Amino acid sequence: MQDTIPHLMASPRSAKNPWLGKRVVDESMVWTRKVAYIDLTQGTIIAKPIPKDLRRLYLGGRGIDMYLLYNHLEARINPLSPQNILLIGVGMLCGIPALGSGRCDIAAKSPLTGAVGDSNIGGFFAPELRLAGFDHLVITGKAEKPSYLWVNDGQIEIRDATHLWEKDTFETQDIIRDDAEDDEVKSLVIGIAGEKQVRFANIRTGMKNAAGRTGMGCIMGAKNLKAIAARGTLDIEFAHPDELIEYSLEMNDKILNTRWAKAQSRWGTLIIYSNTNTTGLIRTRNFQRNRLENGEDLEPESMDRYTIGMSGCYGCSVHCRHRYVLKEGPYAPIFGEGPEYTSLGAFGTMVDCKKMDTILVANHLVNKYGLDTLETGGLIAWAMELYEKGIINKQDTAGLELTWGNEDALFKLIKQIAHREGFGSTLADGFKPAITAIGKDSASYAIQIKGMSNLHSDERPTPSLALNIATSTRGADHLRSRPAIDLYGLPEELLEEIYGVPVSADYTSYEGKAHMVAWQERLYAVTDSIGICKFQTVFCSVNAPKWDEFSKLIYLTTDLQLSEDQLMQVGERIYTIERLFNLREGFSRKDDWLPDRYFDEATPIGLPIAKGKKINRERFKKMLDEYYLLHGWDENGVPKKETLEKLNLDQEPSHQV
Amino acid sequence: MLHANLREIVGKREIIEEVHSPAILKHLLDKLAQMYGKDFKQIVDQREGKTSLEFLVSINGQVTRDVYTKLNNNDVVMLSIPVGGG
Ligand code: SF4
Repeated sequence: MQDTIPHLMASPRSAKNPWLGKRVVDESMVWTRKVAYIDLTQGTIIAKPIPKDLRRLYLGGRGIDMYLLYNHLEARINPLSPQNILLIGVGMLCGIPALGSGRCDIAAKSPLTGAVGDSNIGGFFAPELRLAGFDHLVITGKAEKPSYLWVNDGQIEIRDATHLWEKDTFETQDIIRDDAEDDEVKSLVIGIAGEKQVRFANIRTGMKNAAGRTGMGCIMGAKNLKAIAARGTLDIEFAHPDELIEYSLEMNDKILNTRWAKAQSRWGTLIIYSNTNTTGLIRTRNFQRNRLENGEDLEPESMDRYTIGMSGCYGCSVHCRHRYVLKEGPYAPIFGEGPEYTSLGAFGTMVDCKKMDTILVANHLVNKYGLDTLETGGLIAWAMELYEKGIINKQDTAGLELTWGNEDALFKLIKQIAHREGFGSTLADGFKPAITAIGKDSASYAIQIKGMSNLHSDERPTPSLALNIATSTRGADHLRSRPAIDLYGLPEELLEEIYGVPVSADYTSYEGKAHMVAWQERLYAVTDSIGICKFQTVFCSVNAPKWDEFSKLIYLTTDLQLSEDQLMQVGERIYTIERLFNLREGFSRKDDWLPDRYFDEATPIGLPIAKGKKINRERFKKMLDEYYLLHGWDENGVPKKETLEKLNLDQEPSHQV
Repeated sequence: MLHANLREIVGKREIIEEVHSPAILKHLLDKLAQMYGKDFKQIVDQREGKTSLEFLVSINGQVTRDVYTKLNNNDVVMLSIPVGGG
């Protein structure tokens, strides 16, 4: 066990000063960066320019990734086969000194769900890839032996990674850096879970950042690809650098002056817990209760015991993550970053563990092995409920006592999942195969949609949030379309100004909520395509940047003029191409639905507004109809011909690049 | 219930106040502002005469901006800031 502060915790090219050593010239890099097609089976690499038209239609990051996924992937292939494509996409605004612009989008057909696989990662990798000359990587085939990609100033090599195999996610990054004798190298890596093709293995960079959801690390493992390392010394070039810097600084100031940014800089996302747990909006014991009783140690202030500072991603002024040291206990010492609010749910509320120490250890283990926090916690909470109900027993779990709050069993099971050992091997393929393997009544306790676990929020009192998880293109997920500001009870005039239609300020209402979800889908699709942090858009704060700010930033960075309306249409196009992908893979209206417990079991506790709540089936059906209508999809959720024409999707797949 | 920096200022998660009818939210907020100062004072947007959008004030989970909302005994008033996402 390491006993010094790990190298990865130091963020070279500090988030506060991302400009260090970079020359700024009067031309945008967005037009010179390339897309590289890498065939790991053949060992071939072809670089091509990214067409201007494609930028106008899809921007970059998630948008171009989704275009490439829909265009290049054959329908209904086995996601673990060499035919699957792994896409790495740098956000269009990557490199600007604001809004956490260091984000990268990673996509493939998901091995967990069979639907759109897509996950977004912050940190410092994306700017390094851009500095190395590439904005998009399209990786196909399977390497004969463990390999990694080395990307450096316009060149890409496939290198041997035999010495990296079986190394954890922290060690792997250190070894790559040592091999290169260069501290500035940034890598995307997998851990043992990715190597073992656990279907919800993630991809990681630095100490904390993860492309967590939909199993992108599993795809790297299936391709024998241990890492992608980037080191670049090319220039960062903006179309209108002086105005861009001035505008970025203005925006940073505006964000830092808000109370949410101040709170997030102090307590990270853990601050959300105080509100949601008090009200009764989180699930505990899988889905049995909606508030953690005696959960005081999970309050954000508890992190003061461990925190040695806060850190942030590239281009971020907020710095929302704790750097912590756990000095005592059998796993100590642990140096880490985080944990997020979602980890608190995964290894705290959902499994009924009430100590911050437990969260920190579990957080460290999943990070080291490269497992998605949410999927791991969701599956373990489900298994604990099955154990309680007698659907599985000690024989099934090979001796593990999966009782609520049993932290020892939690840690053991995390390890078993990552290594595909013992009962962990039953859970390592995710909900759908585990339900088949366990059988009996296990399906009815699973809080999953399209095969993906929900986070620990309980959406029974909040129809807008329920519609968000039901319709998300990548499965139960808050990051596709969550209208989190619905929980703020904002004045209805303000809501109408944002959403363009009347929306009820009451978060338990169904009125106008389909509009909210569709609007947020567009906003987040654009956010993920320009590559900025979602926290710094209208996700947490109503005053955060949205369309008009995005439009100005795109112009100053690239010289491309896109109006607010055109940007909203880009968001709609990206969401619709994801929908087309899922339809082609066999998903339909039946998959945009909640687990039965949302309709049948009322919330047992909470403040009066959240207590005794369940989703009304009929009203939810109507809300879903309304949502399809807003998108221009038919009653089965299939985009109409005129919708596709309007969005320039009628010629897809077009293979522009 | 107090959250975020309001909790830090007071040093407690919870304050129990007995209210005498007819009581309104404003009475409670004024009293807290007097006791704990500036940050509490800013909960009410003086220009608008409503709770500020920089704060999240709810009674029994129901968010309110109206400082004249009635308070009853056993009501849970949550004074927080709008932080969401998860
Ligand atoms: S707010 Fe947090 S997640 Fe977002 S860019 Fe900053 S440090 Fe990264």
